[in-house]
Amino acid sequence: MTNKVWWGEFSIAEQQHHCWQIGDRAIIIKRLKNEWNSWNIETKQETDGSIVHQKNCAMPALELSEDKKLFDRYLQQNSAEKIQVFPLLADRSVVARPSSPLTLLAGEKARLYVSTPIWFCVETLPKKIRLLDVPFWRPSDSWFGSSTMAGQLCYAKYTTARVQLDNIEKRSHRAITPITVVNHHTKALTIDRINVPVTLLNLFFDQQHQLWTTAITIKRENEGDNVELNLDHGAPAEALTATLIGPARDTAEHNTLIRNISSLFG
Amino acid sequence: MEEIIQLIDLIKSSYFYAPLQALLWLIIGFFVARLISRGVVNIIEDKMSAHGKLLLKRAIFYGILVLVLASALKHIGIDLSILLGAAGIFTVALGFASQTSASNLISGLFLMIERPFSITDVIKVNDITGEVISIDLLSVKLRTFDNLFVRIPNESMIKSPVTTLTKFPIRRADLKIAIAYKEDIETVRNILADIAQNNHLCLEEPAPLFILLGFGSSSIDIQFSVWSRRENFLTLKNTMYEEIKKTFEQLNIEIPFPHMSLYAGAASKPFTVSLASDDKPVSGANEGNS
Repeated sequence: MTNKVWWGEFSIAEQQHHCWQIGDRAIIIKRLKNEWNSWNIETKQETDGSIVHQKNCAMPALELSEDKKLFDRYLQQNSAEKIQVFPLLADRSVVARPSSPLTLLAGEKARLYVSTPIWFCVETLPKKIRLLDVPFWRPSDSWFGSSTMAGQLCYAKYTTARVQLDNIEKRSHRAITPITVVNHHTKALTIDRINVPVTLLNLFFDQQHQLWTTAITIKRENEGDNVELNLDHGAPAEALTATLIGPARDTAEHNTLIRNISSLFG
Repeated sequence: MEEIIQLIDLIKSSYFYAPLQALLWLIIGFFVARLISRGVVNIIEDKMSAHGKLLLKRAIFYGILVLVLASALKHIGIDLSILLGAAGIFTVALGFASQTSASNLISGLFLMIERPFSITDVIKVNDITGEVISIDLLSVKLRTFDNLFVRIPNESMIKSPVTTLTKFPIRRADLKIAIAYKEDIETVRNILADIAQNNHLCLEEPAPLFILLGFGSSSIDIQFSVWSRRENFLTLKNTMYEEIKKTFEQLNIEIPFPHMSLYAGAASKPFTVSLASDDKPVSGANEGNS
């Protein structure tokens, strides 16, 4: 049985397993009486295609082996019958780069689209105990800051920023974040890199099951080095009718945050 | 009952009454100082670092103890101004007698104020690397990675360069690589960049650094510097060296051993080289066997 929707509630009987796959990349979860087993089979190259959910899929013996690198065990007095599977955004900010540096002219505004990787999360029901929280493809670590002494650890690889929505590849294991940059300053703003605070964003899916995040608006005022970071309410306009699927990892106290320009643009 | 009252009166009239009271006052003061200093640190909980809490605890404890001591001395009739004068002379004498300890003590105070490192930081002093487990008035105690307890006098800490390995969140690993002279440097540069890009522990920013160190006696020497999170430093260094060796072997890039070329010079005759084949034994060896 295959289905394009890979998230939601799943009932797993004892001694049975479910798997989620994109090409050779697979995550398998097996329920035993007092424990859960998981196999996280990674690949180096990111592949396209839909994430396929299968019940009791036929897995080669190697993949079901108890290789320490792949295999994890989670003990529970009586394993729950139901699990909740859902996507989440990265657990750190993500740095995106346009293919070449962009210069936003003084007094102008632009909308950019950034594609960021998503994490695969599993919780047991009804207690919502977290079993797994793994990325489909782990991005590279990176550092975003004015110097090597002050800054923020974030993720970098596999993220691109595009000016046209059509130019961004819509992938099942990535979410799209629309970012509006408003430059009220008298000087042009050069965008070499953008630090996307994905931990503060909600995750939605549209009718085509494409994942979207809350849109962000960044306003640079005429004076000072501070910029206003505004987290929109609800799903972005591009997603049309969208449903919330994954809440933000961190809760922002306000929808409008004041940040230093160097903490958002490199 | 009368006997007890009489005993108390006797003690009161005795010569030891005042010193006894002062001693009692000191003992109570000691426990009160300990109680208050611990209490304040418990109230603060996570609002201060472990280092700050230790400093505050000691300041409160010794502050109260000094006040109690002054009060106790006054109680037994010692004039503090005379005592301070005597203490001055005594300090000079003591200073000469215990130069090292006094130096350590003052160095300890400077260390506490300057705070080049805190408890739980990993530091390197001379050849010793370890985790700071205590910063005291006379010495700093370290736990080395092979689980040894090292006491370093504060004076040495002030005099020698101290490297704090856990000050900043990211670190750079400098990989020393040697390639044979026949290899193309540009190709090697691209291969190394690819290896760094595929290692997710290697930070994308700051970007890896490729430095040509120079032409060595047996190889072209390269330094390839990559950045990682502080926690991943050793893992990154190991995985990078492993991947570099594996990739160089796959792509037939030679990592040369130290070697020496013998050259007889233009004026001298070349060396005579004769080739001994496997099936034809060398004549000398043959003669020896016969």
